[in-house]
Amino acid sequence: MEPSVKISIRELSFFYHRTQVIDSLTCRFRENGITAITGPSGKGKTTLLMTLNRLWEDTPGAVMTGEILIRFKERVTNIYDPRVSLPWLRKKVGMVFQTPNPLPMSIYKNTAFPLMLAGIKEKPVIEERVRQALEMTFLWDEVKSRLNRDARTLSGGQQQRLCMARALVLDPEVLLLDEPTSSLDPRSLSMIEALLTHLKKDRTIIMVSHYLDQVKRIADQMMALS
Amino acid sequence: MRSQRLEFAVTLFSWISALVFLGIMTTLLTYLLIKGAPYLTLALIFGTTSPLDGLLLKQPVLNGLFPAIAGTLLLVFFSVLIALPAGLSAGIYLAEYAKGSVKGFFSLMFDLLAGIPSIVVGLFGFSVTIFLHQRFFGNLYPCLLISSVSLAFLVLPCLIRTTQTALESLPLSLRQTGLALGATPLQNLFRVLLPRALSGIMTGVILAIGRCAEDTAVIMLTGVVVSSGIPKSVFSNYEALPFYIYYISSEYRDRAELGTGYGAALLLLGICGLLYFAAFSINRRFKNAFRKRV
Repeated sequence: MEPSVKISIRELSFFYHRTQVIDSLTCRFRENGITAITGPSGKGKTTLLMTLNRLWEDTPGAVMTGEILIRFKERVTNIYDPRVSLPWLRKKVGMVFQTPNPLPMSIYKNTAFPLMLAGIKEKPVIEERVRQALEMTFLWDEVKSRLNRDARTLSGGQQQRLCMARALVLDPEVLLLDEPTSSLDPRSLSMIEALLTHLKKDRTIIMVSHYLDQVKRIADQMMALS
Repeated sequence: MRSQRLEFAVTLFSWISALVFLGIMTTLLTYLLIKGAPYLTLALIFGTTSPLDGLLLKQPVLNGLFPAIAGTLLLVFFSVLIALPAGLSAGIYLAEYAKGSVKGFFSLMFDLLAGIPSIVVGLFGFSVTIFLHQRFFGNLYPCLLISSVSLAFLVLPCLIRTTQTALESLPLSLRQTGLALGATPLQNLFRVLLPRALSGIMTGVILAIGRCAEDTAVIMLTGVVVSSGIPKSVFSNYEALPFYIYYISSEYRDRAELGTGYGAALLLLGICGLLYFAAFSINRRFKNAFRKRV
């Protein structure tokens, strides 16, 4: 695997209840930058994202074959190696879903949730990292006075930026985005695009997108599934 | 035109059903109130003992329902205490961990358990007591503990099913939220899934409380008696309201005695209402606490 390659997928096939969704896909994603995945519905775009953090494994009737290597800072890892711990992998490979999914708790606790899961207990550390994450997604100024309010009181665009902050709080090396702007208004959309352009400098971002103009605006690499 | 008529018929039928149900409930409650309210006095509860002395257990209440109320409350408490951990764990196991044929097998077993009539559960508790008495513990007789364990068996299927359903009906997206953020399955269960399933689980607990408070068949065979006073330990006999109602309505000697039966029925209704209310408030408390803690 060449040094500039972050993710290497070999002979990936995916089935849901014997229906083939992905047929022996082999591809590479470069380190840092945005790769956009496009293609019609039902062609396995979301599934492809979920093979990168193994989130599909709880889905009944799903079967995958093939190999995926990711070059993490420590070492190149075959993420389907039985020795790989899932929580560890998902801390390295963050994911943001199509619809904002804040948990029923405060803004602060939503953002701090992954830190809590990772067992970080020092309050100053948590506060600092929550602030950084919220600043990164341009949300800090909007919510700093009401961090203890229920996160579900935020607007759709704010919720999605909160979810991005939550995915970024553990500083993942790879960020998976499943049509992150599909439910947003134009203003939130441009904010998130600006955020992604900023984030891609030191992160590998894989994004499913339906909008070709968006892909042209911010993606460095495009992959069409058909 | 026809579909409109159908719409109307369905709406009408729903209204009539609701009204009939409401009517039956009101009739039943009014009947109970008319028959029982005149007897609903402190004397019904404490007899000739002074209420304060009775409550503080200074003097035994000999001719009132206080021991039966205490017995019913203790019975509900111990039964739920025994059934809750087992029911929750089994429900979590079925919803989150059991797969394929094992899950099918356990589901079938719990459904069978749910279908067992309470008198059979009572008989089972009774036979187990006899067995234990003859083989192991010569001092063991039907008592509060045996009744609680038997009742726990009776309500277990309901607790298991509601826990399982509450967890299984959570959307996949919620399940994935925690996992995608690096939660272990156990963290996901306790931090994300259970807090969200809590109100569903609470429904099961409330049903279980009601079942424990009103059951007569099980306790009749496993330790309830007409008169024993407040139980001294879980190994004592005890009194209970539903059994008192059953006993008095089959063996009353005069109108006044039958009246106390109606009074007891009202008391039992009131106690159930209070227990439901308590369960609801605990549920709300829990929800808020989870929201604050997480």
